[in-house]
Amino acid sequence: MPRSSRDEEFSAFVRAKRTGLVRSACLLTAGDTHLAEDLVQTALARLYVAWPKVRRARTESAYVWRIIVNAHIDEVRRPGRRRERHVPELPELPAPPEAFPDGLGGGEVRAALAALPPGMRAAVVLRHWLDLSVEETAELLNCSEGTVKSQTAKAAARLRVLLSPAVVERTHP
Amino acid sequence: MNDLKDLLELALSDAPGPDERADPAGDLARGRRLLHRRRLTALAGVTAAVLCGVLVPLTLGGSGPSAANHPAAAASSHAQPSHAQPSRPRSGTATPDKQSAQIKLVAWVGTQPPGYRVSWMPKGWVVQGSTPYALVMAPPSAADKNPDVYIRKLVVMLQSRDATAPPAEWASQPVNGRPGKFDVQGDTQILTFQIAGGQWVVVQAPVSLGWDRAELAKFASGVQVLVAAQQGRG
Repeated sequence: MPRSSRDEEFSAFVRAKRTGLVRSACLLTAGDTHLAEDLVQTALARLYVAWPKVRRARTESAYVWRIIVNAHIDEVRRPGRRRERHVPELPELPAPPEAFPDGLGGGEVRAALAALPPGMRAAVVLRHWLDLSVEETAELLNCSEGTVKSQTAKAAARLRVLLSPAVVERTHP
Repeated sequence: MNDLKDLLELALSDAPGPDERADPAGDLARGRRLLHRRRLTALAGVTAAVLCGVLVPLTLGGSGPSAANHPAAAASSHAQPSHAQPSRPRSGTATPDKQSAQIKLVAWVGTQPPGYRVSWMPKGWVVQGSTPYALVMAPPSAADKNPDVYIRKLVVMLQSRDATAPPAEWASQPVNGRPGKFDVQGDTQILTFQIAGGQWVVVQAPVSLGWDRAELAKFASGVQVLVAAQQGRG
């Protein structure tokens, strides 16, 4: 593929998708916009390299998302990031309420998202924000469809607990 | 509010948003640089392979494939440190040059850390920290003395309680006959292996140690996890 053609097609893709990619990546990073921007930059650079093959297969978005999700999981697994996580048990939490409470702020939701393990957060974002099917999500996360279902169900339950008025009041007085 | 999608929308409602103007110039430049680097790397690999194919037989007397039986070739293969490739058959092929920069494994001396029994440690390195959650070793000259920071250090720990099995795409590297997975991430090598009872143990080693997979597996094979060891979270 001539470079000019690759450049034109790639530029059109970036213009159409970049803002949405960063916005969605912000959910993966629980509001860390700098990390979200880094992830998208990494993914787009690798997309440019693979452009002819990915374009032929018409899998641009899936390719970018696979890189973003994997890069994010690699990032949070980096040795230097393991500090602060060595606690023997999570604090005891009340039973999950039936629904998310009203009147929540964005900061509270982002803090609750940040409390989810990265793989679980990725499952929620891919399924419920990007509206991917269970099958597509499982393929992107390299896990079984059953794992996707259980991870999203557990994530919803944990978010309901983390966002229940008692917990929110305790952590965001 | 019942819907997760509404909740995620709310998470972004007051977050600082990305620049609405998606100018592709920066991404285009980064993509071109990466493509250029990949092509250079590929070219360097091909060049090195061609040079090896031409120069090595010449160096060994131009005897081509039979050079492995040449006295000079045999001598060069035995000049490697005896510990370098313990698990690989020595077939007369030369081991890589990087072995010369390898930090040797030596027998563990001193008090064993809580939670683990360790048979080996890198020569000249010291224990920077040991808790039931992690054993951290580093050279005495390490700039970072904080045992909670694992960058450029050798770390042994149980896999986090929240983590799943290592990714399937990692390379297989059994340890003590049990499943193990190996991967290199940036300047860190990671070997995750299963022990009796099904738990996974993670060994992280800096690439600067000069170890290959076999050497890392040798270190891992000397690690025993005791009941005092505890998993972290996250």
